[in-house]
Amino acid sequence: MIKFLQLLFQGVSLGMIYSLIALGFVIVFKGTGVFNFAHGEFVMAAAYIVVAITATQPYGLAVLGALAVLVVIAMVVERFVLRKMIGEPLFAIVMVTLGISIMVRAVVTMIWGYSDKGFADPIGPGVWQPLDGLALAKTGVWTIGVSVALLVALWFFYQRTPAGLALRATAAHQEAAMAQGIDVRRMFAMSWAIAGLLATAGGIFLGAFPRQVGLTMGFVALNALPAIIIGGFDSLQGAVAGGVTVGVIQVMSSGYLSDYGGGRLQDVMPYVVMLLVLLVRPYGIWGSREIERV
Amino acid sequence: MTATAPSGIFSTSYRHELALRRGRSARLGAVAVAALLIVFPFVAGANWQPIAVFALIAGIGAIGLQLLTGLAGQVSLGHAAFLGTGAYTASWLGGDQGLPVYIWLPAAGLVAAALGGLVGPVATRLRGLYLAVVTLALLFIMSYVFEQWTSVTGGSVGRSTMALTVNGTDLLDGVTLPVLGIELNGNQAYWFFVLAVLVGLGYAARNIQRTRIGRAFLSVRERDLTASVAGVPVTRMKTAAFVVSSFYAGIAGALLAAYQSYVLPTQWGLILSIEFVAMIVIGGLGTVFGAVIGAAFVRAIPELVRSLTGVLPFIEQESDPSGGVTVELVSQFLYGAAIVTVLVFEPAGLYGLWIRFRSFWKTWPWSY
Repeated sequence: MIKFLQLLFQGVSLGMIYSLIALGFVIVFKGTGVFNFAHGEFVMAAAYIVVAITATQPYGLAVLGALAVLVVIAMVVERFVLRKMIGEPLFAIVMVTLGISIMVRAVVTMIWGYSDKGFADPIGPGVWQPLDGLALAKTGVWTIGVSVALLVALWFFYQRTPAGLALRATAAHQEAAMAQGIDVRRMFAMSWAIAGLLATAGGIFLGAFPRQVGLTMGFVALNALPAIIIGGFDSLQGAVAGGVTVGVIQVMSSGYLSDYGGGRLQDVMPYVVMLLVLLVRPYGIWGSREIERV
Repeated sequence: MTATAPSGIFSTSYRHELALRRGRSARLGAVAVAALLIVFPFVAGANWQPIAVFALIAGIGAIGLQLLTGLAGQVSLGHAAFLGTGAYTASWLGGDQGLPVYIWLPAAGLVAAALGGLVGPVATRLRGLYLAVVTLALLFIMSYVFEQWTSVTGGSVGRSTMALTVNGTDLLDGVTLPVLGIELNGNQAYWFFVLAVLVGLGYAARNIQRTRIGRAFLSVRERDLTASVAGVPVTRMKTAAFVVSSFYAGIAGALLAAYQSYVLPTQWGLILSIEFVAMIVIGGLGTVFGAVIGAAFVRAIPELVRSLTGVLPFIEQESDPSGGVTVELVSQFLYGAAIVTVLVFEPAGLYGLWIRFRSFWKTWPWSY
């Protein structure tokens, strides 16, 4: 039982990170119709920037620095690449974002090299013991706390502020939103900026989780994809629920199934579960159903 | 593309209508290309020869992806998984069982095609992004299999593969052509062998494109609802596209395994898949020739950058664990940039550029 709770806690804290990353994908997709495969590389770049700045500066400054860089990158990519791709087929847009992800990865490698970097977070490696034998890592507690706070803030922004309303209107129907005097181009930029913010948050926590930052982070961030599929591509709450599901599945299978399949089953389990969900519900659990008569 | 065609396509006979190459200039062009391909390995430097062979092998795989993505419109990020399947099938049959090339080469294609047929029914239920992510899932699951199935794949340390032997000699050791008496080194021998396979499969793909199936693929790409109204069995066509494309990938994987003579499970990953998609995008979507040009371009970038180091001295030759502006990373960056540039400025790719260039000179000076 203690082992189960322990794993559940780890799963949820990993899952919250995936949720943040998944939300970055979903917000851009819902707001602008672009599925940004480069988001994983954005997450990785954010973590590297934090590592680089913390070498000489305080932690808070590093977070702000990464945030600024990521938001600027996201908005530049939107303005100068994806703005020109409006109306192109989905395949072309996916390819453009893959091209951008290759470029980001190459630049990150040029600056910081191939080897992993240690990640120093201000929380430290301490644990918190609410029950006898149950040791919860403080990073995990912080991850869950900050993620929940971020999600609540995001929910408040989308549901209770004029800008959030405008974003939702743009997502629902671009022309109708324009007719209401909403500056759709600004909304596109804003969606990407929010994605940049979420990439920074995801990068920081993903770096803190195994306490290192490496080039594989871009691929680890792709674990947010099964989360999105399980939740449904255009559903914000689906992304969060899917993220937590994937995190729990991964940690549980690494805890209980480590004797099977070479001990690496946790890497493929999210994808297997995703395929199963897709067989039953081809649009994810909360995704909107496209009308389809084929 | 029709907009840039000079002034319609005129056929005066059925023979002309059915011909692959219409008119004298096209035939002359084909002869010129053939001559270039035959002479190339003899004039190319030693550093270009392996790249040329890799480009040809990649061309076979790219034609396969072109049929699936360019023609039938199904986005796939899982192409590398089929290459890996072909490579390991061939290694097992040719290396462990000791069977000859005329068995392991087709078998590699067929096993990969069978895997494609298994994926088909799942993939055909989905469209667009969902399909892209599902093929990505297939890729991750297959790389897991490649890493864990130690008896066939050698696990994470990799395995040595089979030799491509023709008439008892390993092609890598070089051969002497029987009648002409010309001595070919290993790379040249591979060049001609792979070229023969590529021409055969490319010709087949070109004909698939022109027949009933190819037209059905096109209609599925444009709009599957319309296609089904017009009587195209959409699900069957999508599955067929996956099967055919996987066959090409399997052959390419087997040839790659033979040429490398050692394969690692990590090489059949997301990066290889993206490279293939980049090839068909850069070359030009929907054309067989474009796929081959794109493959050559993507494979040639690193060597092109290397030859630039003389002009741009800040690019370092050797790759370095601490990063830096190295040939490897610059070429990676450039190929990402090439994808973005092509899609933003010339969505028809290199092939589209060629068509534009050609029709400009064909109609010069009255280009309107």
